[in-house]
Amino acid sequence: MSNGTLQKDIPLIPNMSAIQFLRQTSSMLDLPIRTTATAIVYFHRFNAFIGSREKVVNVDGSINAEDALYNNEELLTTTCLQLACKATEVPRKVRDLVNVGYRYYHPNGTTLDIDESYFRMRASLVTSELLLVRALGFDLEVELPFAYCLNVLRGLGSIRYFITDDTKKQ
Amino acid sequence: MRPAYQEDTQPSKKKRVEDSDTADTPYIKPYVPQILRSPRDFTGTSKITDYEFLNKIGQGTFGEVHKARDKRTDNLKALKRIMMHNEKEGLPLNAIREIKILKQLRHKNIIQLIEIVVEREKRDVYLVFPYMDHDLEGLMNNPEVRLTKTQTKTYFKQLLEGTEYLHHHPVYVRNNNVSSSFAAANLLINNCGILKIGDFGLARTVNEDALEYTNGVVTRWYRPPELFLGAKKYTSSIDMWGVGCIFGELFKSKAILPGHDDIDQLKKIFQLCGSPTKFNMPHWDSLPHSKTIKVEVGPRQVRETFQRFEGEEAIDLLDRLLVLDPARRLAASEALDHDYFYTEPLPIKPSE
Repeated sequence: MSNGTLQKDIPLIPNMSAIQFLRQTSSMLDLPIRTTATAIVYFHRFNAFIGSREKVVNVDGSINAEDALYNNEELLTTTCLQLACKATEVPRKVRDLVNVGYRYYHPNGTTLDIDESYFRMRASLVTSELLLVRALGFDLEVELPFAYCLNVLRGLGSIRYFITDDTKKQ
Repeated sequence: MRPAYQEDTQPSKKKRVEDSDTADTPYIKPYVPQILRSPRDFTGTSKITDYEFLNKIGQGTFGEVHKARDKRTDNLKALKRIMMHNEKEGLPLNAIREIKILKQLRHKNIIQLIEIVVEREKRDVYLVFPYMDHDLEGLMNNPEVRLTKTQTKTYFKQLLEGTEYLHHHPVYVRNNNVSSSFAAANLLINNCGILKIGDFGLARTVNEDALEYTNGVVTRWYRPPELFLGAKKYTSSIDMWGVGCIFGELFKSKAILPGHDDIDQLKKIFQLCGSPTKFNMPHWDSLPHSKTIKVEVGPRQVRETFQRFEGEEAIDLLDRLLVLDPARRLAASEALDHDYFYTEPLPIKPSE
């Protein structure tokens, strides 16, 4: 991975640890489900983008910025979350996002001080946000499955077999 | 015996694996639903070096606008720089909002986003629009330009068509409201006579639970009375008031309601449209600010004010647009059906 070779086949089961992170931090930040779902879609699309792109292997062994972001899952997920917050109009401070992300990945660590490493994290978050929006082709509005789910559930509700409430079955 | 469907799936699976080995295309393509896929050829991102900067043409709502030449095609473009003034928070929220909205709109009378250019070193983001030669405000202020009745009609028809599209678009309907900033300076006109609604920098998408508009939604002169009275419900009729103001401006060649603060603006509106009563604006006294504002009683004089400018149909249309009650203001599609567009002089094709 480090020298720019890419994972070509997309696994059937997605990267659960990243999804879990997005869900957990969303509840910590008190985000609506819309925002969480958008962040997850961004995450998948970024991975699909990496998979679909032409391979570039640099002679000196260095990797380009997109691959660097791809390899850094903590940064990628936090960036997805930040962008989703903005795109769904639930603004959260970068400071909060960094803190929550840090807390999730270092559950037993000390609280994050405002020192140089914090500012470095913050700067890399801003930089990777620009990378992410470009990888997504600036397609920030995503269609979420909830509307379809509702329709399916309504359909199921009309079938007698699925009605659990016995009083309504007759 | 194996069911028939299994025989089908087996070979195709094998083939797919082979495909993903040989070709670089991914096995699963990112799924983008049809309605959200940008229908126009959005070429995506290109390098800033593809553009040659010419001069600064204006200061947008959140960034400078530069005129630039596309070195690849030699076409003129307008590049709007997104200022990263609050760089700590990354991309500004209203920039994301504007990109999100613009990418989904495609209409001949709405400015189209051609692509987005990112300059890596300085971390600047530029939105690339087609270069438009004039804006409506500039045209009206220019003493050498006199708009004929036909031109006025043609421009106004284009404005209404753009507005109608906007009001029926899923972005608008789904998000309750995308109120663009209707103002003469935001209506761009190119040398072919095409009018385009530009600048969605102030546009807001509003969710049901977060109905908090800041008071800078629409430029003050084009803001309807119910906003000054503190109405919290936003509908497309807000835009139609602005459209009406622009229509009047097309005749008068200057802003019809140039208030210099909010109170003065409301006073000017009531001077023109008469004081609000139970009949012309039901429920107006239940709006939050209605108690604090002193209203001078006066008659409605829209028709009298514009008598000398245009024909009877035009004044009738204006009269129906500048209505105090938002529920009774004409919608864009209704306005397009008005007799004004079907009487002489008929609107012409923009190119003529």
